[in-house]
Amino acid sequence: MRGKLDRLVALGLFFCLALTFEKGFMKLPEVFPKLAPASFYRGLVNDRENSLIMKERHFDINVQIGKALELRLAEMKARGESPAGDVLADRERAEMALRKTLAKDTRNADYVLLARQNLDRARSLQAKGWTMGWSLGGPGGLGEPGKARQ
Amino acid sequence: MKKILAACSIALALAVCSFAFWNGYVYPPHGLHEYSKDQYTQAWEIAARDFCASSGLTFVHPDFITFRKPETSDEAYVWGVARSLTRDGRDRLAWIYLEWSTKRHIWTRSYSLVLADGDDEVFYTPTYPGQFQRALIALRKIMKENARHVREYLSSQGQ
Repeated sequence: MRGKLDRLVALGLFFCLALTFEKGFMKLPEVFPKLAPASFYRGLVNDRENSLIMKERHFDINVQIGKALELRLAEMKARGESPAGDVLADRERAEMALRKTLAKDTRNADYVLLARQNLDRARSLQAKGWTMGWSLGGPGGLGEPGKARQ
Repeated sequence: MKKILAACSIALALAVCSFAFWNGYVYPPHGLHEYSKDQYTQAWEIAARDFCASSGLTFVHPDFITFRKPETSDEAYVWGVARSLTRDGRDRLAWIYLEWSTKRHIWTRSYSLVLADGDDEVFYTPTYPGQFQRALIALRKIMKENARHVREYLSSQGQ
């Protein structure tokens, strides 16, 4: 009875170990694109598509925050209001916030561009059927120092 | 004494769990169940109108709606800005953002807020408000948002 339980636990542990090994093995960049290329490339492209969408969204919300701040400033001007300093949204802070938003617009536009380039790169890797190769010097590997990679 | 403490902690845990479940599962797609992925305009507009109504604003018109969908998967996103008016006739922009749930296949509310609202972090400077005040404002905003969720849910329940 005792021996049977022992064997059962050992079997369970071995199964877990095998599962962990399989999971880790499939994460290796040398292995994943070789054994499951479809899933690998879909994941790669999907990840970058979602990143691009996120960067576009972040760009948009910052632009719109700027517009909302402009609206508030115009409203203060039109109504001749100048909120006291203990009101968070006073005129000075609104102007500062607007400048901050405008500065961030530039950076966010860059992030969108970078995300688009990353997506294009992922798509070209997919088109070429890129794999890591089995050694650092192989095709698609790191190559040798001082020599440009093909 | 021990029993009372245990009962209190169980009640508290239940309250927290049910509130999280309601906010994360029941509320986000509320009223959007019947809209397919391609009916994002209708879903967005319902979310926008409900948001404005529960924030004490009058919905005027959408400024823009952006729909994005990756080619490689089932995900989809729609975001946009709703122009609205406060009770005393001030213009406000409301950011409405919905995500398509790939597991439940429905539109869900993700992140909506009034842009450059009176207590918005965008007005913070390095020295004002202080750390304690910031924490208070953050807590107040969370509670306000929760109350708004409840109001939105209850007001559209009767329709």
